[in-house]
Amino acid sequence: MSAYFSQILILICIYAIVAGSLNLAFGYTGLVNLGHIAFFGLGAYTSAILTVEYQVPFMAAFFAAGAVAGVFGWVITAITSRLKGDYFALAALAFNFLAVAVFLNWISFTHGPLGIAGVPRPQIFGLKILSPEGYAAFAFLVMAAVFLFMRRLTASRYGRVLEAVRDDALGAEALGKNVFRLKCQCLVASTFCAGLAGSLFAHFIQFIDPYSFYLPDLIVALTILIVGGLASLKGSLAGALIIIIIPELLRFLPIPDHVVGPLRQAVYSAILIGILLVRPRGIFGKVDLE
Amino acid sequence: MRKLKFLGAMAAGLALFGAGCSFTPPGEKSVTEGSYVPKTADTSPIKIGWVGPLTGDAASVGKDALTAAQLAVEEVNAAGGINGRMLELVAEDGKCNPKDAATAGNKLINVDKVPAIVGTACSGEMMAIAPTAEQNKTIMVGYCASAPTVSAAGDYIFRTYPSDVLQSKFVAEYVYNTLGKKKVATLAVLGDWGTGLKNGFEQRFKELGGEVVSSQDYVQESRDLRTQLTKAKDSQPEILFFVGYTEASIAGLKQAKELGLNVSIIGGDAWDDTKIHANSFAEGIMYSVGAAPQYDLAWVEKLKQKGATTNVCVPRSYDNVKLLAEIMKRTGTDTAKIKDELYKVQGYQGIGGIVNMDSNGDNTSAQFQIKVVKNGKAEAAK
Repeated sequence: MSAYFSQILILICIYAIVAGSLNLAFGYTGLVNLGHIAFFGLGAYTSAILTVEYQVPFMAAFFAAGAVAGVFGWVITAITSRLKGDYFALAALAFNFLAVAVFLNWISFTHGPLGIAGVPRPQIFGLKILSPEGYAAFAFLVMAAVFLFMRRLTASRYGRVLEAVRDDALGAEALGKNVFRLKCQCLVASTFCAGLAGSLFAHFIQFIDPYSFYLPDLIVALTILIVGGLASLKGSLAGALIIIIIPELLRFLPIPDHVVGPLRQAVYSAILIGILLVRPRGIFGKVDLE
Repeated sequence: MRKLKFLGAMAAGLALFGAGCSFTPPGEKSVTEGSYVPKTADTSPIKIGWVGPLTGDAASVGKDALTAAQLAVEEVNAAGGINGRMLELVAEDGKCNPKDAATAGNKLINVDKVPAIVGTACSGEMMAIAPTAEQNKTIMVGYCASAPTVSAAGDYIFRTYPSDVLQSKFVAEYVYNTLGKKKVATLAVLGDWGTGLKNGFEQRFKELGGEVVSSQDYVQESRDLRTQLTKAKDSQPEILFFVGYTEASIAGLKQAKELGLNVSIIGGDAWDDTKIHANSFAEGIMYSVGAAPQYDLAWVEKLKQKGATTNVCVPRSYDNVKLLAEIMKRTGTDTAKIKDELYKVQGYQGIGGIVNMDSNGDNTSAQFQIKVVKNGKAEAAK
């Protein structure tokens, strides 16, 4: 049983990081980054390619995953610097399509649609993490570190300036804040964390393909974010916990085999709707979606 | 500070949660200690896992395949089960994607502790479960996963559905040896099926001494292949190997005619569709298709009563349950023994044809034939 729970815990940690980092951009700074999963994918691909093709040590690949995602995070803010709100959201979403198209078509590098198999388990300072329990501990440490970092960032004066950018960008600018630079920094931090999560994902599932980083995953990330609540890091944690655990609990409902798939989906949706009816801003949400 | 406390509480909670879970009840063997070994004279049911897409795009394929697996389980149980122990099928939804398949497989392997999983349908699902299955010595027998990558997925990983490599080899040999064409242009849909077929074809064709003058891909939703076809035409091939699903193929074949690409065209098994054959521009195209045996009519009827049709993934889902049941009658649920027996399977007659396992756990017995479209109808090529 412990292997089973460890694997669930690993997924919770990975998705908590994905949703938490999305929250940093979306909830705190108001950047509706619908391309967030692309950065998750960039991290996964970077880490997988480096370890599989170039035998780079895990820790180096892990941070490279974050760095590559972060660099692309900077690129996307730079090229969309004139876009705001919905327009930025669409451009970011387009970036996700673009990333998947590259994963699919750059066959010599990414193996295209066949995906990359045999991504090794991490080896940290000579210690190879083979058991699910060990991996869960590692994923938990990474998640804790990422959340501590984001917590310090958002609770600081800097975090309040970010929230000011979300609520009134013009006002913040009038007070002498460099809004573009703030957005840029925030998105780089956010995508860096998503890249780390991608690396965790690749070395956990040990197989990645382009369609693992597409709209269905974006929906999972957004669901966690909205159920947990915007601009609340503990919301993202709670959201990840709920969104990953509910489907697992439903596996143990005595449902006849022939309706098992659809009925679970239906119950799952009903629970989500229930949560949002009771708490329209999400469990710990502080701000409304406009 | 409140948030920090919350984080701390979460950590403590999760640690407790983890500690609680690592407790293994006495008498119940932990998976990490070795494979599942039943007590003697056990009459408890034997659980078998099943994974396939039950929701999402590929759900129609998965649902029918599940019905077929259930039919097989019923038949095995009606005939006395496995030495008095009944089979019990535990189905999980793999949604045709690696993440969901990984959690589904994780539950079957670590909670239900199934000795074997019938699955999966999609190659991505298979690749995602394989590492966990391999580590826990759980058998997997794929019923529809055809990507070449599955061959190397592990010792405990099998499939009765033929690898795309076999079909692509067959087509390459047919083009080179039978048709005598030495220069080929390839055009394939991006995906594990299309890319797998194309890669296998090109590799075999080059081995035979042929030349691949142009090699291109397109995305599944694409309906305008003029750019690729023009490039293919400019490379002056003797034949075009065009792998695609129905809609894109119809568009592509029409555009090939319009562009004056007047060479023979050969395709993959997805062209076995009357919707393609009915078009005037499809006249003369060839394609390879599995020389499937006529399915047992009584079996088809039984499935129909359960509301299922016989799509491409159905027969092997049924066969795999039967095959595993037959082996477990001899070996019990010791997965190492089941694995050894699976490698020895030769000439097993299933609904979907004969199964001969090779050392990769792949079925090598797939038979293919070439069909030609004449007067709007497909007929076997001579």
